[in-house]
Amino acid sequence: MKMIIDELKKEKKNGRARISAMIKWEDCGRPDHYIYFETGEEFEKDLTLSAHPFLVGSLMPAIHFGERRIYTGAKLCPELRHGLNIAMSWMRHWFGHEVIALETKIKKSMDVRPPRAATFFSGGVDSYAVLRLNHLGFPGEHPWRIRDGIVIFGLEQDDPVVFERVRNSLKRAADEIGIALIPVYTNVYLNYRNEDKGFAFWFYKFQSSALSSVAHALSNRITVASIASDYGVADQWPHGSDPRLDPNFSSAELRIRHDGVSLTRYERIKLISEWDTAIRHLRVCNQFKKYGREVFNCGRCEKCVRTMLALVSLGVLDRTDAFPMKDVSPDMLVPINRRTYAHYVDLLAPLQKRGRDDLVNAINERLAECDRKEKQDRLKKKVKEFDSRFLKGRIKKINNHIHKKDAKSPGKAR
Amino acid sequence: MRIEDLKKESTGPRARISAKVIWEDCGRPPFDLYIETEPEFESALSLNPHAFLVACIMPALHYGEKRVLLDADICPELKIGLETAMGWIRHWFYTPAKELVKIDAKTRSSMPLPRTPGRAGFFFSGGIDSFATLKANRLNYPFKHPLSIRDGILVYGLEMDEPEAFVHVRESLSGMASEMGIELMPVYTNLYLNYRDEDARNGFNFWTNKFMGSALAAVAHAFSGRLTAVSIASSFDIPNLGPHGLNPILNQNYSSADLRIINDGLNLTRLQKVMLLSRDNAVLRNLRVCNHFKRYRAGNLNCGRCEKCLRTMLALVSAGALRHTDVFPCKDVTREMVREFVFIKDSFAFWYTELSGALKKAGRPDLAAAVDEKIEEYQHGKSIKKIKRMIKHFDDKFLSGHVVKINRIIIDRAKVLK
Repeated sequence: MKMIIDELKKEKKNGRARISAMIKWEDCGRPDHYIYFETGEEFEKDLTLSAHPFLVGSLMPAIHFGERRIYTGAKLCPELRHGLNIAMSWMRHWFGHEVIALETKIKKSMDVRPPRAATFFSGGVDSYAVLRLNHLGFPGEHPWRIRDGIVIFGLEQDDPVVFERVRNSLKRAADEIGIALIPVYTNVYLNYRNEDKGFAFWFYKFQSSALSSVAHALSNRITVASIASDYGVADQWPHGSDPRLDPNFSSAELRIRHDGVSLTRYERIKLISEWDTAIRHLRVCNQFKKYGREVFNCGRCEKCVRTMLALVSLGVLDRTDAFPMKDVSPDMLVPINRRTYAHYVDLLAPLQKRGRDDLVNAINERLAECDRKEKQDRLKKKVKEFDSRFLKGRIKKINNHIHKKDAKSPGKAR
Repeated sequence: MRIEDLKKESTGPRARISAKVIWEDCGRPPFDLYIETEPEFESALSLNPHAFLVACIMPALHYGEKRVLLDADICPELKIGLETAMGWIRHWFYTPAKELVKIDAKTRSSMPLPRTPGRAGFFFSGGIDSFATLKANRLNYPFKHPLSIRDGILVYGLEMDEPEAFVHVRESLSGMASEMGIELMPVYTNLYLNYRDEDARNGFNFWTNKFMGSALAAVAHAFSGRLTAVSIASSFDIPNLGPHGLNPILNQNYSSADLRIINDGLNLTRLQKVMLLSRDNAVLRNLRVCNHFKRYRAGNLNCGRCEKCLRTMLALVSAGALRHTDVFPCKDVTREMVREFVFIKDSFAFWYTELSGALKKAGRPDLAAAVDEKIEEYQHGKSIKKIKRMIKHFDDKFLSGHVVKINRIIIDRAKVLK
């Protein structure tokens, strides 16, 4: 029993070039489906029909949903196969997944293409920072200087109208920067998104392999693809885009780089804060249903507020129209969790330096709240462990009973 | 730190690249850093500034230099990588306030020309990890693939600096290399010898925690005119990786756009590696796991009495292969040998847990029991250390360190009485 990747084909559909393959699930009872990667006709020759994008895009779903093997009749780069085994070993170590067999034939040679570098270009802080870092470090003629930005429909957003607006904005930024913008449309994640509670599968396991699958789909054009790191060195923790994981999605022909890890989020914002193009076209918000016609940041969600705080501390928020507001007030702050804790700690000193004690106090309150909540959660966990180990779950039963009673009580119901 | 006067020359029987290393902040004396090889590999040795930069960056960080100045063009990928690697070392072993070494060098605007055709090498010590890297590579890559390993690099001046012992090792691996379809490149360097004596007094902490990966990578960069990918065998598998100088999160950062440094063997435990090698007669004839190089004799490179030898012999027993090899002084292990020579430390305790199960499975309950005794002894020692730490913590926090002071007085008096 195995997942089968079959029926690989390249075609033109609805004015786009497309590669697709059928994914047949055999162990976990999911229905068969097609995975596709599409791009504009002008990039048709860059789209590569090989097993790589489909295998890289299916591996994490396969281990997540409990498949035992993956089979494809197409040939696979031995380096990629080795890397996928290492990636699965990390997943086993972090999350207890089994390492599954990859039943494929091996490609005996590699295709040599002229080197060309790309990055995933969402318009967010991390992607602009990677571009900036690369363009400052790699001189104009260097083959690893990023020349392509890839923007993807079907990951965090799947509203065609919104996507086209974002794409147009990014195109203007890309033109100013001097890179080509390549739009890619894919359902590599859409097949699972609705059932992905709290986006945990995406965040902890899938993100970099999904992005890498898109890079492999374009490997006729690119030989190096940078995935922007979401955390700095000191804040790394096991998740789906980790410096230990991402390079394993490389093949002999396409190198996947986990880029920008040497900078904290605050250092990244600082790096791009004097880059006019980035500041004007910044898009950090994931609440795409709240996007305006030209403003792609709601200004109220945690990510927006956090970024705006950093821009305030650098004195540049009032210079950009990318957010609906030109300043942040303490009441705009939302609860902080462990994932974002370090980002806020980094903001304290620069905000203080700018004389924004109101914001410093508000952040400190939110950090303390987060600490308190974590302490409570730890205590709850300990009580739960004690209860199940020594009291046969009696505390839990009593607690459930009280809550049941509370729910039934007419006073509470009202 | 300044790296100056880079040159390539032939000195006596060897080809050499060298540079003068001048310390600016820490008051150490200047020295000539060199990497040498034999004349037949002279064309492979390139005067690559990367080799010196990678060799010096961790010593510079360790000894507190503020910058490394190098008047040469370096790859921007390597520069970013070295900054990231220093970031990891700071995160693991220093406080966030520790300044990273500034790399003061121009960046290359293109790849070096002519481009080196794809060719892979690896560091070949003759131990379990390096043999497993070669074996796994042979199984994974078709022979004509550019990542199929063609060269084995054997380095003099890292763990070993005894010319006679090196000759024995080299002789042993030369025959093996041709059997496995690789060329053996002997390399001689002082990139670690400058620090080794003082590091030895400190339990080789600098080497183990910070320098290992970059030292090997520096040697690889010296051969970037021949090689485009070089594998470093990992001693630890994924679940047992800790912050140390051979961590893959660190080593990948020593790559440049034209040379990849690959951390290999992460998905196999040491026992799995032994199992992989245990049916290969060529490996069994040439294995060298022992670090006690002063005990080496021609044809006898494993003392059979140190912890590492014993650990490997036990693994070979569990794989049913010890009796098929002559590289150890004996064909079997006894309980007494385990009792006498095995000392378990934190960094490799997990290897013994794995061994105990394998020995039981292989029908050697006697050795499994001996290993279990050692594990128990280690865990007991660990519990005592933990209690001591707790007492010390309590003493520091609430008793102003009086318990420690009283303890010291008692020990001193006892010494006097003795």
